[in-house]
Amino acid sequence: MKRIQGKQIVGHVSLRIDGKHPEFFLQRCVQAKIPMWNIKKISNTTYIIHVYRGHRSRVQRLGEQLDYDVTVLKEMGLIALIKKLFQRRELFVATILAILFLFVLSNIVWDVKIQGVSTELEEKINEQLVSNNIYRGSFLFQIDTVNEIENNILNDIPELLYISLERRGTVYVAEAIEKTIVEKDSPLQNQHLIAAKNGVIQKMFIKKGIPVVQLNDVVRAGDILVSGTYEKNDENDEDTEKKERTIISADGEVYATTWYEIEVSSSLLLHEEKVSGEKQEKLHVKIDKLTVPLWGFHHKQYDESVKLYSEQPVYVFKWKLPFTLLYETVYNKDTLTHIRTIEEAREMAIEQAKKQLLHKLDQNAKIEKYYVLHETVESGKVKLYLYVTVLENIAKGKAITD
Amino acid sequence: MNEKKSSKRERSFIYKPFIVPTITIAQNNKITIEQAYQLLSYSTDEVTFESESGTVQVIGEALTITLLYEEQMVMEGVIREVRFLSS
Repeated sequence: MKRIQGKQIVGHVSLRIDGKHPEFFLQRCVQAKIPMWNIKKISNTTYIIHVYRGHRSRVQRLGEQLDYDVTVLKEMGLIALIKKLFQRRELFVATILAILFLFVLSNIVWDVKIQGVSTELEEKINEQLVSNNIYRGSFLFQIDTVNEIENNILNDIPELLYISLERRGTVYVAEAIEKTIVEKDSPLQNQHLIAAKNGVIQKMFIKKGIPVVQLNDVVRAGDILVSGTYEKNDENDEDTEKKERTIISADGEVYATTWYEIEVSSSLLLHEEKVSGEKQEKLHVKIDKLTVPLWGFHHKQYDESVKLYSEQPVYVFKWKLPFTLLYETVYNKDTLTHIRTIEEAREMAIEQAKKQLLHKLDQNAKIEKYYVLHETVESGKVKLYLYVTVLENIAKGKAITD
Repeated sequence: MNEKKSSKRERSFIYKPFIVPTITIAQNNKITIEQAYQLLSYSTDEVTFESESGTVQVIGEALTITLLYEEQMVMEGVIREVRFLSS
């Protein structure tokens, strides 16, 4: 049955055979390696057979040779259908134009709605949308992905807290929430300020509370830096040592020099991957897992490359078609191998250590000094043992319990 | 010349077992004939063909040849009887 599986695509014809002993004719067709199917006997001299479209002329020739009448009854299959369409050219052209027109119309932005914000902000968002090609009459192909546009708008309009851009068929709907400034009214809890780390006090900015330490004092983690209680003597009754204890919430910043010991290493061999400006763009149609290339066949091959894919769904109005357009960008990549000197590797390691340390610390922390305690070069790496002093705020609140 | 004759003999010796027709009947509504055959007559209630092993007659109702190709014939319909007339 495999012989006739492709009949709908290749196309097939039904033929009427007239003549004496049509079985003989069929046998000759078999010998000529012509597959036949759905053979029906109409009478003793007439048969109807089905053959591939391509075999029709061979059957007709055999009929002429053996004195049989071969009449084509019907042509079937995809090719016959296309042929019929081509015969009615005006209908064919009109159908194609209608499909194209429908496709173009369904890929145009028909409306843009902005909801949830004031008129002023609406105008700003609209400007941003226009700059991202979202306006009435723009083509959907020119528009970036919704996530990218959302990020762009959020970056460009700081007043916005949130924006959700949604595509509903040919309409874009932007729902946004404006930032509202909320007054800070978090009352300080009754607290002392204590040292979060060991250090040497360098400077203090006390807003409230009684400082317990002085400049250049060495403090350990947990020591009270600023007291949150205040005791005053009762002036009226001097004889009796009656003291009134008032709780005030300590607040402020106490900067101290702290120290860290860091072990860091840096390789002497540096592999660097660099994308050169050269790129190639390709377009594919993706149907489920099947990808069919449409554009960009003949491009030169790069020795090394990076491929980036961007998938865009295709819509007819609000209906998503079962295929997507897949844009492929192939960038030329160069891999560079560079050998650093020990000095360079050392500098890199120190910079890396500083960055990592600052990343862990408070924003206001500053590295004051560093010392290389130990340095080794082994297995192509420079290993350093650093001692770093940092100026940072070590004060942290501790609730007054009694 | 002798070499040619011997190779022909060898080929016929090897080839012959494979040209024995294979007749497969699925239930009573499909019959497949594989390997060499020659269609002698066909009607909706009787199909006769000649094979290497002799004439074979398929008797039934509403018989249609659904595929006719070199070394393969498939018939469908109601098969009542398969007769091996001579061998």
